Amino acid sequence: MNKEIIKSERFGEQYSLIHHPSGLDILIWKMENYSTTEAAFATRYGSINTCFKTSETGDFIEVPEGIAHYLEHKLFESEDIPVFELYAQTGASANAFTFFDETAYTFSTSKNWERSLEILLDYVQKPYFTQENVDKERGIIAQEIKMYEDSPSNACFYNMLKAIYKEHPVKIDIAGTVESIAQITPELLYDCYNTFYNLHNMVLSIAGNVDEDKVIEICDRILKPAKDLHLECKFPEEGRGVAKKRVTASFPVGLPLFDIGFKSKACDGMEFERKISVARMALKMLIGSSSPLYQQLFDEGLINSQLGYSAFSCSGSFFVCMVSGESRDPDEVYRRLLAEIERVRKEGFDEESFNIVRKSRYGSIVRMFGSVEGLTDAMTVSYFNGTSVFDEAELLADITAEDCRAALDELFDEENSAISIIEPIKE
Amino acid sequence: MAIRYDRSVIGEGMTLTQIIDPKYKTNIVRVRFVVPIDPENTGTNSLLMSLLVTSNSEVKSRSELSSKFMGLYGTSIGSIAGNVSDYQAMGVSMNMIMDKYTIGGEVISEEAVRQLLLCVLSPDITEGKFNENYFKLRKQELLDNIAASVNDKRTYAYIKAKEVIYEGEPAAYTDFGTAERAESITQEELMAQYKYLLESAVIDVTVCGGGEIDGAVKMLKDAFSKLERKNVVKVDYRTLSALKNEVCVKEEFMDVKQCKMFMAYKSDYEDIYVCKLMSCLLGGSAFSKLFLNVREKLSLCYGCDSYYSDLKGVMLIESGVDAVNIEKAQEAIREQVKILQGEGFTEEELENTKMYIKSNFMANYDSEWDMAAWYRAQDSRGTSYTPDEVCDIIDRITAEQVIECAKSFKEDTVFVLKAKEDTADE
Repeated sequence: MNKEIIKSERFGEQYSLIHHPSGLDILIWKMENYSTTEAAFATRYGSINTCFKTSETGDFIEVPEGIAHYLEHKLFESEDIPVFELYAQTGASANAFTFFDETAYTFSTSKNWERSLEILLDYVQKPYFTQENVDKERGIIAQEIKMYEDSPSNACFYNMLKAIYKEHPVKIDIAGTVESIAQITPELLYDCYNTFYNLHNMVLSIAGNVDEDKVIEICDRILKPAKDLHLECKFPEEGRGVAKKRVTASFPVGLPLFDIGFKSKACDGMEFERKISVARMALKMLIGSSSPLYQQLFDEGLINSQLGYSAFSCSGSFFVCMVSGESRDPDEVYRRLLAEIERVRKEGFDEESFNIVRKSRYGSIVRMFGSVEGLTDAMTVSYFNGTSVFDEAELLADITAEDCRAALDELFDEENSAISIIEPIKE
Repeated sequence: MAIRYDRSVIGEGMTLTQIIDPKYKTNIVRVRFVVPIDPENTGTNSLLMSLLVTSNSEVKSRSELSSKFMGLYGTSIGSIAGNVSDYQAMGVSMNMIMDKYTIGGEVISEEAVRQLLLCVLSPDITEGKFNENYFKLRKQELLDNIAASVNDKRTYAYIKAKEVIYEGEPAAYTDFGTAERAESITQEELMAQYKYLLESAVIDVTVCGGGEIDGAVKMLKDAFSKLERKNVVKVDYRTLSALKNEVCVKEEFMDVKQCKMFMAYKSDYEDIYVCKLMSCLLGGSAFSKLFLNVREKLSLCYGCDSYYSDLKGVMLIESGVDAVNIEKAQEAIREQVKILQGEGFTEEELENTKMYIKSNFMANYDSEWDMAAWYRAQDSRGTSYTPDEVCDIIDRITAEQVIECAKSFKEDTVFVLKAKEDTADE
């Protein structure tokens, strides 16, 4: 077992990365005087991983859409005592989520964290899928899918992804469809489990009120050593250009909703960390609440306080700069955004705005250091990206306004952009 | 726990609350006005709060104000507006990192609080009117928000369910009012309402976080204690909702795939912590009666949860179900309530629920936002218990009390936002 201390002199913070002999890497951030312990046992496996191979499968195999999410639900099934019943004896809140490239099983508790950790490590390593319990779950997941189908913002978001991505599976709904989940069998679930829930493909992140020695002792006792299966996932080539420039749908909404997306090349490691930092700052300067464009659009009543923006991305897989909101005229917002990008491309960003935005981003990082849940999540995300929680702060000191301007060509290429609009249903 | 709680009166109907724990890295400053819900003025109050955070007498443009706060290490400022029982509580809330975490120890807290005070006490008013352009834009935004209340089906169904559950009571109204009323709000009404809030609303100023902010606290105290106050409203948050003579069943139809169902039970049971525990046992966790039976055993829904509102004495059970399963789900929920009323739980289930609810209470200590909300709730009950103290109260609750409490809850309302026949997914 070897251990690394990941430290930030700037913030006086640190956490440990332990390479456990079982093949699992463990991240531990002890937060003095905190009551809560938050843990996430996560696998690098999400809705986009529908085509893969390992040293044991031979050729690539394809699985139905929504299977990662289905597996997440079913992992709570146990042959003897149900998982929630075990957690009930500890006082912990247990949960799980499936994202595009990650599935995580979590607990949060102010008492008995050691017992909760034992339960977490144990049940995630013990799948129990039968025809009967797999069939039973279909109704519950179908209700979850229908809940999302009633959400106009969810529809707007996925329509945008379907418009900008011609091939990439990020455009698939995480939960799949009622039709796709009908094809899921216990055998398929075991195939996916055995491939992705290998400790070499997973990480345990734990933050808050925690004792490192106890974590190791529990891991030593419960983790079952795994052989590296040399997992490989295949994604289709995603060329330049989009599937559709504009896509609309109708829902019972008050005002039209919109999502504008710009796809760009995926990358990983420090390149990804730098790209996402630059993208966040560029978005804030382009359309953040202190930007000239925001002021104009707001003053003309073209946007309201619902306007948001983000760099939505997964390391090594996809990268989208997106702007969302409500507007009477989403097409005009899109047009003006493109014009502003063009203007900044020629004139550059204002130095003073850049320094303000940099300070603001620094403030956000400080805030994260006070959140048990935020740190658990940040450790997992940066681990899967091959970076550390502190890298963004270090990069912030290096990035210049000119770097942000220079990145516009790649981040905001009009040819790689599209708009999705949800229009109110006309009575 | 190292938390320090201090509440002092700084004027008639005005308090300053400080909740300090050195482990936090930020400070929250919140100024809240509380008045009885008046459906004629809820929208005006919401509009007023959004105008207060748009500009002030010194920084007259929205983007400049935003830039100002962003430069203070991303200090966030926003308006808050919502209903608490039969009262409307609204104001301005700010969050800033502590001075010691800025680069080179730059002091930002005093400038941030100075700007907040300008927003609240010295707004962008010229010749008795708020900035005309922002008035028009924020009014339109209020109208947009009212129209957008249909966007989220769960929230929309909840608003409609509340209208039925609290029929005839102030709590039935939303905090943004109707579109017709919003359309008619004038500058004069806005000014009159602003004056009324400063003079007569209950005002609570809260500072919650890592502290080391004495200069800024003094600025807050000095500024508010100078206000001229008269006819200050009386606030008594706990106003129980009356049980209807017979269960009221209402439906509304919409273009949705999944129906949203709310069932309300009412009680005048005195001990709110017994009610909270009972509601948690019924549907507050992933091992609750509703979760294990209605979701896991019968696969009727993705979620089936219960919550208890101590100020109104209402327990709400919500779920999302297919149209064809509505009656089946109602029966399954009623069955679980009946089981609880008939001693149908084990000592172990009760102890596990206690452990769960206590763990959640204790988790509040770890977030300045949660601690601010914790003491806000304590204040509405006229108590100032710490999470530790409430855990002790929970420990002393007996199974007999839980049964007695469950029996006191009577079904009052069933509201369903139903899928239209052509969109229903059966």
